[in-house]
Amino acid sequence: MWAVARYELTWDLRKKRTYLIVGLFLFTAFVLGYLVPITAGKSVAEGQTQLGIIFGGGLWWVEVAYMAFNTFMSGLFFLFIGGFISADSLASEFDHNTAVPLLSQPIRRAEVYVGKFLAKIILLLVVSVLFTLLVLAASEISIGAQAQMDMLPLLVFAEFGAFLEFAALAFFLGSFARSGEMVLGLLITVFIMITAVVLVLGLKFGLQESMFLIPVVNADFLLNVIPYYIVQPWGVMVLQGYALGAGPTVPVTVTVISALQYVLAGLAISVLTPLAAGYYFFRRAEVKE
Amino acid sequence: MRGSSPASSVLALEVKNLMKSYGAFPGVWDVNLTVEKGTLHGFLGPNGSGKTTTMKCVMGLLRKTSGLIRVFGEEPLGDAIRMKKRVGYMPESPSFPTYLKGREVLLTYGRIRGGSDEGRLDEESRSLLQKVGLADAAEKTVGKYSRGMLTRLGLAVALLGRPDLLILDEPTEGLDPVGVIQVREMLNGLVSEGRSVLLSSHQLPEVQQMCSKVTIVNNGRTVTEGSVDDLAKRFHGGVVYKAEFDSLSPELISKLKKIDGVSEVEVLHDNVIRVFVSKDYDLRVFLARSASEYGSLLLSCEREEASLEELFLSLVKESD
Repeated sequence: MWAVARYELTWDLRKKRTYLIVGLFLFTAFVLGYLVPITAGKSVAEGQTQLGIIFGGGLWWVEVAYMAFNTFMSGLFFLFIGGFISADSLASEFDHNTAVPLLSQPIRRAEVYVGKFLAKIILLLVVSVLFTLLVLAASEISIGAQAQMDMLPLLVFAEFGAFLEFAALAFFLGSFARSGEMVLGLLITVFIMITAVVLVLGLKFGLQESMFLIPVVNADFLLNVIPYYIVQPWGVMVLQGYALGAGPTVPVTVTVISALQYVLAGLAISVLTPLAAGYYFFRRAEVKE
Repeated sequence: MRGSSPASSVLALEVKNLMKSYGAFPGVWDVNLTVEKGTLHGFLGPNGSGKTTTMKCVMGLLRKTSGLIRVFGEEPLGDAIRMKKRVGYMPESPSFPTYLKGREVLLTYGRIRGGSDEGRLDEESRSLLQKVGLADAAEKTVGKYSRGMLTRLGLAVALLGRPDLLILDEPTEGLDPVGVIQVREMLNGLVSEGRSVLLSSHQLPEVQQMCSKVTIVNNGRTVTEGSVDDLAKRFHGGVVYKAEFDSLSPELISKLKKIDGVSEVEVLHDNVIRVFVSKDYDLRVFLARSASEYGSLLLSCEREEASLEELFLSLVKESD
């Protein structure tokens, strides 16, 4: 498994696409962390934000690294990094016929699959750390000393979790589409379709809050669940929904669960389910050409 | 693995009634194949006859629909780890990650095969590259390799871990004549070490020269299997006469066809014919006598063995 992870990482680190995607988003970190405050003035960075309500204080680096992406844009961000980096992991083995020498070796397919995902875990963790640190450094330079450094691991893991959502989705799609280009197309299609549906339903029925439960859309699920767990691991969460019917929609409490259950459910729905479904197809995949 | 059979203790590979279908489309219908330990076995058939499908089924790259596959007497199950440790496979037109250098390809697959001693892996990689004639290209990325170089690298990958059975799909494809000779010598060397080789090739003279036994498949079925000599004898008694006359009339050809033991008379050009004999006896006297009966003269007559190519073409034609 480690040999496969090493093989996969070597491949990733020699691909132009990896550097293009990671470079683009590290540049985004620089733009948002440094250029935006410089251009728009400190008032933007010091304004009251949603994060201010949760954690107290207007923290620009936290804002950029986390909540600034808590929109449609965050979905794109995580789709590009998590999804596009992982899109051809399995598919290109079939695309380029390298699946033949790989699967002819005495190794379990499960080890191939997990080894490849392990490589993505390592790579995406490094990207999360680099991105957060770059945002922090850029914010320090542009608007002075930043506070609440204890949030650093929280933000890193929140981003990392959201990256993994798209990586797992890409693995699922790649294991049956077996074409890198098709996986990219499917990823974008799934993203746009779900976002469109969410927007329509959200606006029509006032279901924006419930949409937090839908992974993929803007990566909100793990992005919100993981920090919540780290901040309040033994706390409880009230999941709310809206009753739909012929009459007006009314908010209702769906259930109350612990933060631990919530984060486990989040991981299961967003990462483990697509990963397991992908393995099912990969396990059965035949190498015809 | 399971299902060990005492009869198969001398067999490196046994395939019985193999069937593989892709939905309604049949890949192979009924392939039977046995490779004895320590032999070089030829696997012949026209394009699309089912050779590659059979090999991929053995390697677990394709799932068989039905039939039996045994490798060293055991049936591979699941991921077939034990079987794959003993088998090296080289596909037709091998492909490798283009960003890796030749030496890195071997190191990578060596690690995946379970090799953990980096020093030993490095030594094995260099030795294999030397063996297949790629020592000078070891530090070149695979993306810059020619077709022939990829074939050589494919052979080196198949040889990783010193497998007991090698399954090679067209291992001389894209090689220059020197490369073909090198591969032939290498395979003979492997067999002399007691290893077994299943070799699919379109180079029939080469298969005849190298292989002790062959299996011929056509339209997804095994047409015949046996030693090259036995098959040739089964076909035409294994004897062919090439004869030249000073003149050749239809009557003379008709007369020659009636000679006891003659199975076929083929006119090659002008006054030259080839006579296939199903009984092994000296035909020259009969040819000379028949020629004089029809006012002709036998100018020359050479006896030659039936080639695998003729045998192959004939059997494939028969089974179509």
